[in-house]
Amino acid sequence: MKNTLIALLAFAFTIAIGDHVPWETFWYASGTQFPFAWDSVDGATKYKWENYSPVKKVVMARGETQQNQAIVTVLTGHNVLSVCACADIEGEEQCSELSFSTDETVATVDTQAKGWWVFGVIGAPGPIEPNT
Amino acid sequence: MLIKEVTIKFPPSASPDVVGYKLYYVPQGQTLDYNSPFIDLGDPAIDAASGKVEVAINELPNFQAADNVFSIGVTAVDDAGNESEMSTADVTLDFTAPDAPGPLEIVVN
Repeated sequence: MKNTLIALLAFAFTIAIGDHVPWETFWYASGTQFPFAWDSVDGATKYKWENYSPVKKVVMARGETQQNQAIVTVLTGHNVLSVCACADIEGEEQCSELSFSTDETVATVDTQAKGWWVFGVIGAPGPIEPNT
Repeated sequence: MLIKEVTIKFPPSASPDVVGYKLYYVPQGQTLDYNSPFIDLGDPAIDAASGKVEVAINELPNFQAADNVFSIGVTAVDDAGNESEMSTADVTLDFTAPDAPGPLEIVVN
């Protein structure tokens, strides 16, 4: 039997490093990192998160934490984040369904209910230092 | 005649799927963009001490440049052919050695 824990997602704007565009796409240089945060769930012993590419249709990264946030590395292309809450029930780990960042019923942007994703673009080299 | 080496350094892109870099260049005052002349730098080595990419401009093949002040730009390229934003700088290139000193004269007293 699966738990019906629902994790609420919240994007941490205070450490945002990308430009916000109206359709809830956040542009980041791939390889950079950003905080992916969610509300704590009572009784959860850990959270499992995934970074999914809807274009490639693959999970590009996966992790777990006991905190209510993870530092996620942006990969090139679309990054859809999801998280589920897990608990030990009668000695067996059981997890909720994944909640997706593109699902406006659970995702928020700046405390407003909105779906979002991150688009990773290739990062520019650093500043050039000429030595002439 | 000895021509001084002109080098540029830059921190590499942080993106994990970078496969190379391009160096764009135009005389200062002209528009530097993705249509400008460029040289494919390939995947240059990163200096272990500085953590930066170092390129000797005057050793690049096909670098069509004479003495001038140039606007240059470097982009990172990923395995799909996407290019990053351009990091830019102005550099003064002087490949012309000064005139040699005049004939030596030995004066014997």
